[in-house]
Amino acid sequence: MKKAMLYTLLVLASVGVLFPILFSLSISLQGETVSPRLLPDLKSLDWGVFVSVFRKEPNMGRWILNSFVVSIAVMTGQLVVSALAAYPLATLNFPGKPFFFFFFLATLLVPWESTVIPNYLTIATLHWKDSYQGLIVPFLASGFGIFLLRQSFMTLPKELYEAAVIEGCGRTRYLWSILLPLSRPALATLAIYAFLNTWNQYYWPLLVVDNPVWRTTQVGITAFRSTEIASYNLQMAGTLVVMAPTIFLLFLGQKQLVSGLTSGALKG
Amino acid sequence: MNKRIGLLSACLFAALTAVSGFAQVPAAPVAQPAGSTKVTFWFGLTGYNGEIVQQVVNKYNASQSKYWVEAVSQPDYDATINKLNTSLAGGELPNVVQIYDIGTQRMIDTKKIVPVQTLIDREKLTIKKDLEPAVASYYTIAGTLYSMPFNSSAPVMFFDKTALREVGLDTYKRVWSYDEVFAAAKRLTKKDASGKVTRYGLGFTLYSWILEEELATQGTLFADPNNGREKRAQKLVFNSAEGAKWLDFLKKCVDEGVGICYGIDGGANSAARDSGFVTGNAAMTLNSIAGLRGYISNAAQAGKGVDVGVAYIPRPAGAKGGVIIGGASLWITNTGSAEEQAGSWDFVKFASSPDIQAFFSSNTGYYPPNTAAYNVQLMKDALVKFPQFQIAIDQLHQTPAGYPSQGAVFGTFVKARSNIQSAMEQFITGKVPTAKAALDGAAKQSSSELEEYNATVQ
Amino acid sequence: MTSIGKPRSRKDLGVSLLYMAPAIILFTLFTFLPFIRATFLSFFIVDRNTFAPAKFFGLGYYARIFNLGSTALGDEYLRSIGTSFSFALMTVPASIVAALALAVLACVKVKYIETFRTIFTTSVAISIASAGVIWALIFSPDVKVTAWILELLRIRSSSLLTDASTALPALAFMTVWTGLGFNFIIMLAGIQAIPRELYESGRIDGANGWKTFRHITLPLLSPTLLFLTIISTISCFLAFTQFKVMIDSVGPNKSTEVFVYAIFNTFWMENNYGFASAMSIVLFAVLLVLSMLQFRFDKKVHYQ
Repeated sequence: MKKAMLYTLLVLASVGVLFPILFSLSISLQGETVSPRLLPDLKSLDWGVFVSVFRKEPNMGRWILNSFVVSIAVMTGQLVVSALAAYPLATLNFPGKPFFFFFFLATLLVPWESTVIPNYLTIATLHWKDSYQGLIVPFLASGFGIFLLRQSFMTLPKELYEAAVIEGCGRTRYLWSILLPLSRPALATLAIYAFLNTWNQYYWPLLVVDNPVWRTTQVGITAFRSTEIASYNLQMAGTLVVMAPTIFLLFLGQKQLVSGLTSGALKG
Repeated sequence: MNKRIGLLSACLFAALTAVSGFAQVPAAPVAQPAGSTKVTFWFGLTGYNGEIVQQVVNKYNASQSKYWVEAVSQPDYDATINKLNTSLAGGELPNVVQIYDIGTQRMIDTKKIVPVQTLIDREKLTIKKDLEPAVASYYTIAGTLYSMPFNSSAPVMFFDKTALREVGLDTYKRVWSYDEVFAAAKRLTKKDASGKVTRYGLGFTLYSWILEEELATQGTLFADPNNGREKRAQKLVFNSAEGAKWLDFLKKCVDEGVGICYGIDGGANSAARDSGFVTGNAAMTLNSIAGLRGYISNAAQAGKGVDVGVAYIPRPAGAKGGVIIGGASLWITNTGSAEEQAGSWDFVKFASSPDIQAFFSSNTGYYPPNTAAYNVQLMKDALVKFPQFQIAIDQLHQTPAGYPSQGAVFGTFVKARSNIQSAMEQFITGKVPTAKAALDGAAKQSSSELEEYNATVQ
Repeated sequence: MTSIGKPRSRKDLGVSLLYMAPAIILFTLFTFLPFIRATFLSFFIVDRNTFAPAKFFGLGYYARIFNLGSTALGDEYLRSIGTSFSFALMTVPASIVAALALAVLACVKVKYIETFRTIFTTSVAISIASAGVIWALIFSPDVKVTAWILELLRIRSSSLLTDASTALPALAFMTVWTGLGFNFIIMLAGIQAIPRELYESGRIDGANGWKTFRHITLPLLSPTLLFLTIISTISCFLAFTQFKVMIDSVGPNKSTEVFVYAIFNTFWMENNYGFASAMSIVLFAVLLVLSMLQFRFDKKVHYQ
């Protein structure tokens, strides 16, 4: 009895959470109509709409590709740049260290939104609009990443470092073959945050993309919506198409995602 | 686990590239011929009309091989001029760009424009005598034609003939006064047993463009002096009794329950107005004549028996003015090589030729700015098939010339529109007690913004 | 702060600089210099064509934001900051409560609970832009999903998004949904980190479900709650995408003109670069205050 109630609650909550997705699927399949219903007519489902989307917007596939390229590049870049910067902060003792510590800390206090105008001007002057570098390079450094990795590196005993130096292990090799493998959870956290944040970016790509070919999925899908403002089925099918890759990745790597997001966020 | 993710991602990538590759085939425009000069063209029309623009470009590319136009679609007119303005930073501008009517002064002020007048004069062309006078005069500032009109429109009142007949109203009546529209809206409003309105008489968005047109129907100015036509405009004067009259009319429709307001014009709100009309939820609405084709096909698809009719935009009884044209024109920028410049002009000439204008107009519903297009069979057929167009053309031709119907030009038009629309909203929703007060606020703000703008461009 | 007790050495400085160089260069180019440039531009009327400062304007733009002195603009920008705070106030508590409820529900030990947990995380995989496209249609008057709310509240507007009293709450509701997946994951982890024994000793003391929740779960979850409250507040304050996608204007009676949207409007649509820069600096200041509050509260939660 209690179990039945629990399942009812769970199912209700699931329907609530999934409602927008189920809704978009329902509208997609109803064909072109100005007054869609909540549920489609099961006898005449229009699956062809998912093909029409690509015919209406030939760039749709390219947008998804762009999002992957940009997100993976930013993710990789943040891992490398943060690991390199975190390394001396965690292991070495050099003059001016407090200065650099605060230099990086200060970047956490400047929201991206408040530097967006000069950054736009920089990218435009470099003629980096409509390019991957314009979408990627401004995001390669992450203050969050540096502090996350520094924290992780510092949990490893310093004897490890001293022993390695005695063994004749070079600094970079120590970072590469000892520190990084031992910091895998923190790296995973940073990777997931970087990927998700970049994937979800909307403001910046909206500014630096003029040619539809260079749109990312987020800018693309909203432009597609304004183009097809009266075709509700196409709007929803297009949205499902651009959401599919990340939903797919989520169901594939749910465990890794959860542990990644939580191990970084809840330290101590 | 990691391997599996890698493998599946690889499959995903393969599928994606396959899908995009496959999909690109049917819509593929003409490929760039070797040795041709590339001309970049931005346009802001989207959806069905955007596809027709793309077809014009395809026709041009197929017609010759010296130049190749790359058509780059932008999300809408606003986005096009915003992108152009901000692109001044890096200097990477398109060669040709389609800009809406109200961007005219701003475009001139960018100082990156080649006025088409100089190109016409250089080749001693006679195209200006073929241009629709109202259209040519809109894009002519202090004697210079700056851009080539491409798609022109004007506002009309759309109505559902079936509904009008149902309540015994004349579907052939062209000129409606505010009072007549209100009386009609009252008769057209239907309620169900529970008292819920199932059909409104009038559905509308809060659209500054219509207010601008209403000022023109009453022969009054929008900007001072002389709508900015001779000298740079210094002050905005749309807060006249004439402007307030229109707002009072709209509010009366809403307050008496015979009209429905879909909010400030644009995006989803405009879509709601359009679907409200084609599904029979609002028997009359106000929009550009360019919306005609869409209304007819969507009404047929909705299957609610809506039969689309057209009348002039309403005006106060006895008003003597006319309408201002709307739409967009093609601007040539001074960027790029001499070949690109030549190609830009060649494309613009092509786009304004009678055949292409007839093709574009007959497929969309915009006026052909080039009157020679009316002699093309395609256009003649369209006017037979859609007699509603003729009403819009007649409305334009009956407009007396003068500053009010020439329309205003000033650098901050886009912002002024948004100020006006906010003011209209404040009045309709009762936040500001009178129409005059609402418009006064918008005029004061817009004038101060214009003053600041004028200070930086001189 | 120092990790290794060796004396400071000049040689290490060179090596350290080399390691930190990419980060230093990137931050200089894309964070610090732009910040300085924005500050500089905020004191000038900026030429729309050349983007160069055209005329010194002093603190004029700041005065305009805070509605000091006489301008025709009134308190639009001050209200816009207020709108951002209202938006955060509507969104954050609801987000926390919703995620907490889901997380508690997901803690029950029944078969297939893993599947339900996965479902509850879904919105992590959905960007705000895509969600905005879907929710805009959910709120559309052509789809009758929300018509009953309009009737219930006796609203004459055609949709929730076009009425000044409901547009911001509707956006807040949508935002709660987009954040649900992430908040749920963090919340569930927080609950799972609470030691089992505490619950068991509670049971011996005869505490019921509500009592254990009130006296064990909630207090031990407070770091998680605080963490989520802070990052949700900041992200609400910086929210832009849903406003651009679903409203694309200042909204009915400017009721959805949040501050970041106002900056975008001034920058991108009005090309008033000096004024937009001044607004950016004010945004920075507001967030600095929020960050200070965070620093005060959360020493034990986040970054050391």
